Amino acid sequence: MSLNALVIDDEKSMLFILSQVLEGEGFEVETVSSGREALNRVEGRRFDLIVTDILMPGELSIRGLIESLEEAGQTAPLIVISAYWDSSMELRAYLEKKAYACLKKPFDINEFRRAVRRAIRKESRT
Amino acid sequence: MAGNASTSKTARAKAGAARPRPSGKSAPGARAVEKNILNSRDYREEFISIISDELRTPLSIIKGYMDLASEGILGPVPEHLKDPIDQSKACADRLSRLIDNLLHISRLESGEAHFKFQSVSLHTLIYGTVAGFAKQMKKKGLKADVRVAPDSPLVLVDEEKMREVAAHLLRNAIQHSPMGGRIRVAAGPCPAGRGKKPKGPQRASSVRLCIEDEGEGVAAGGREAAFEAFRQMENPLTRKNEGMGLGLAICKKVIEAHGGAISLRARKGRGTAVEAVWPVDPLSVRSRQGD
Repeated sequence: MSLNALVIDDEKSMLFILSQVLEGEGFEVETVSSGREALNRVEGRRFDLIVTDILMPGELSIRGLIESLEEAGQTAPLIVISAYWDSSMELRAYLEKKAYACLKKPFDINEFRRAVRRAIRKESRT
Repeated sequence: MAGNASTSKTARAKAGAARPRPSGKSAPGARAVEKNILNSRDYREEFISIISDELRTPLSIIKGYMDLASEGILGPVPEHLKDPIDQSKACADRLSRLIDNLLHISRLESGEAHFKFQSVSLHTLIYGTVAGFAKQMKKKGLKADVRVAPDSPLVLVDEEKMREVAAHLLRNAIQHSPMGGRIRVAAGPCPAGRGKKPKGPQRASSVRLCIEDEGEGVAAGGREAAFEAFRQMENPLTRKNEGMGLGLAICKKVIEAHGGAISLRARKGRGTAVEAVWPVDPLSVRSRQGD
């Protein structure tokens, strides 16, 4: 049975690039372009990996998204991608605690691939 | 494809749309935004945010497509396109470094940079950084002579920023070295005055890092200016090396934030040595000085 990944980003190109890499790693990938859509998508389902950009259109912040995912019982490892990695130490500390990995844009796809592999290995051990 | 999506991000944020801010707080109303723009600190943050998002996001897409193309994920790559793809990837990496440097110097100069001090081994710091440059050094046929004194103490530093310092110095040395040249990297304790090693069981109070190349050197007048942001040592019309002249300026600010100093020894045509000296425990030095 293949693994399921949910990718959240408002850039269609980023969704395409991330999906290509994830599919190469054997995932079945679903993509959404906002946090709100992501919450609708996870309802009653379990994903093996969630990848999200830090900033998306809509009223839901990254903190709001993470808290809502937790409330919905999603325990999938989270990989956060951000252009704002240096902007807020408070947010950085929060994401370091909550996310499995945080990648700064622009990132190398091998860096992303390594983070995905580590996340899945960790998940299969727990 | 991405289309105009990336160009609309900052515009939406500026217009006070419901898009969340980096802090995760709601965007303020239009009046508050106007006030903020008048406030220079917020204006700087806005500027940094624009640079971060508006440059890094499209750059990550360019880099992502280039990575996919070079791996053949988008289809077989004809031989004649392999080099152009590699060159494009290298340019994207260079742009990424320029953006990072602009953000770093902006934060360091405004005093808004955050430092997270932790105990780090000088060995790990130096050998780890040098290992990351093996490919570039091989490309120029450079030999690295790396010596970290075995009695080097653990140092209290912001590891990420100190690695950046070592990387900037090493990248400069590689860039300015002639093909087949030698780069000397020396690090270790220096307790009482520059270059002196501790005697007996005395604990080092400072450490030094010196990176030396066999490049073209710097004329006497350029040594101080080398540490100023945006100052290039070479004629902009004829220069051979990339960059905006931010690397050494960033190194100086980071080393100074660790309570240390950085200096450059060079003679025209005789190579360059950049030496940074900083306290093993910058926080206790600061508290003794009553900062």
